[in-house]
Amino acid sequence: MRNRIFTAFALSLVVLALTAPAALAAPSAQDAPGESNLGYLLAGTLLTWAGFFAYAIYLARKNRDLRREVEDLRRLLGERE
Amino acid sequence: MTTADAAPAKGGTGIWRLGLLLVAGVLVLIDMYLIFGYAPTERSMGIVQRLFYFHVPVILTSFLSFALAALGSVLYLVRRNRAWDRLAYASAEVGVVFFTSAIITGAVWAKPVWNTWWVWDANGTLTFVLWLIFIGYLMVRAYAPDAERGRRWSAVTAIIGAATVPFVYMAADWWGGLHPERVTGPGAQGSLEREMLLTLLFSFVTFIVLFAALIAERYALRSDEDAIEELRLAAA
Repeated sequence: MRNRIFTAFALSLVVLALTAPAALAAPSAQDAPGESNLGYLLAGTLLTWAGFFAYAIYLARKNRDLRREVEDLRRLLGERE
Repeated sequence: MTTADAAPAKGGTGIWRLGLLLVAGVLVLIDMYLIFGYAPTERSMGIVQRLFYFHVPVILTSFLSFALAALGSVLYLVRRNRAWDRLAYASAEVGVVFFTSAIITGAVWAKPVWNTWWVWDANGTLTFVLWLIFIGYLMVRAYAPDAERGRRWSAVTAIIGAATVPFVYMAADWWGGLHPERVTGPGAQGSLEREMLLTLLFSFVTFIVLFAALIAERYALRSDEDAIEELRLAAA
């Protein structure tokens, strides 16, 4: 459950990163000087959140692996006792 | 140590960490609106300047993280309490994630503005050195001949790394280069419009909360790793 929430959080960050710059920073008359730089803004935003997304996935996987290992070790110790 | 002592923390202790993560998620949503919908577009750089609201809070948060890693390291060396080492490790690892993100946003922002991805001036060089020091921290932990020596060696590495932070922060002021003058924080020379300043402050709060959520998560995982190590020894 916890891992699913964590993964959902990370995924929502990526979706947000993909959609928000294009939707909200659409070029207007005011934006004219930097209009051609939308790609850089999109790339910067996407890379930022992709980094946090990858780290969140890494933590979630590590959490899952540790839980499994604890169960294995408990079983092993239980069998010995 | 008994099996029960070594068991990873779970249940109620995880609720507040999950809560912190959810708060971070909500703040990120509001922050994205402020960055792309509320903050005005800067006149000379145009929309790419909005990367400023990622780059500055993320790099300041990474500095905070490295300072926390050094504090945890000093306290571990003095008191030999593993809890301080766990704080130092969590701060260093999360700090590397934030700092790498700051380097990437800086490079992506530099390309359209300076027409280059990276400049080896004082700021760029010291930034790279600081990044290498904390990558070194993680490598020492991974490859030290035994855990105790890994903890001690990495603690020294974190202290050296944190001592580099003020030089990175002040590099543009002291040695010049392409990096622009700071517009916020101690010793800042520039100024910001009210909407820009509000967005920057909110962005800073957002990344601090995200940082706290990730630190709490990584600290708990580190505790679990230590507990498993003890269980392994008991099972051997």
